[in-house]
Amino acid sequence: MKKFILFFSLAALLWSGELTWSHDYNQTLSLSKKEKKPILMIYFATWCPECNYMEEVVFKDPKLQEYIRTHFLPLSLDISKDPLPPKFIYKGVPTFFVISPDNKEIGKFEGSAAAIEFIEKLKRIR
Amino acid sequence: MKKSTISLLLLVTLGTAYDPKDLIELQTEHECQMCDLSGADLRNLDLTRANLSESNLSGANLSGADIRKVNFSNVDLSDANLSGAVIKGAKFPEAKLYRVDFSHVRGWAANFIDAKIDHCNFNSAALGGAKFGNNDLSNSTFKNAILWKTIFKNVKGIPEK
Repeated sequence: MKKFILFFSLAALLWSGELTWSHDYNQTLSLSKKEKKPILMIYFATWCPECNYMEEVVFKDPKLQEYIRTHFLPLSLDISKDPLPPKFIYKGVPTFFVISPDNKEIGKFEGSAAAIEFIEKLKRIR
Repeated sequence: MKKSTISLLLLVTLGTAYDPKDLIELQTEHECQMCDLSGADLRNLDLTRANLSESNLSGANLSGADIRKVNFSNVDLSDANLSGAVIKGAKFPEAKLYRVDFSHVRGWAANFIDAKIDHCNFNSAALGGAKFGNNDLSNSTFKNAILWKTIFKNVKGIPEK
């Protein structure tokens, strides 16, 4: 019965299309090397309205979710809990970094954007 | 001939209205209270957290500037261009915001309470979490602006979300 519930919970989660963000930089980097897929890292703060807008509105867009899921490994780091890995620099939140599997910053931008615009920004970096 | 002479004189007068010393002070100290920066070219400058209270920035060009958390209290920004600027957390109490171009600004959590707003262009501005209070917005435009969790208190002409 437990397995049955777990299976349906997992299926419902996948079906809902929600993005699953990792919160562990090293773990995501290892996975990135293994899957040869770049990382999309967001550096955010819970008190930042712009970050909350991205989470509550923009990242709910199914096309954006699909695009991120297909091309990136999503990683989110919280300014109050997670130190930014040493070589990355930010000025304000939210800042988005695209990191190659060999741990190089290949793109960065700050601030929110509508879902379509966000996809275009990511396409330009890829 | 007369017309072109008048235009040239007007251009020279407008173009050199600000005090160059004030501009240097602003760029070096990030503080310039009661300064004359009218008509100044401040495009794309980083003026984060600057204190510009009671200054004259009428007709100044601040497009693309980083003016987050700047104190604009009692500042005259009439006819200024702030398009595409980052004005996150900036404060505008008692500021004169007549015909200001705020299009495409990143104005998250900006504070417009008690600002004197008239005929401003907020089109495509991101104003999520921004606060408006005691303003008349009926002559200003907000086409495609992000008004997510924007607060309006005692405001005339609240834009449609």
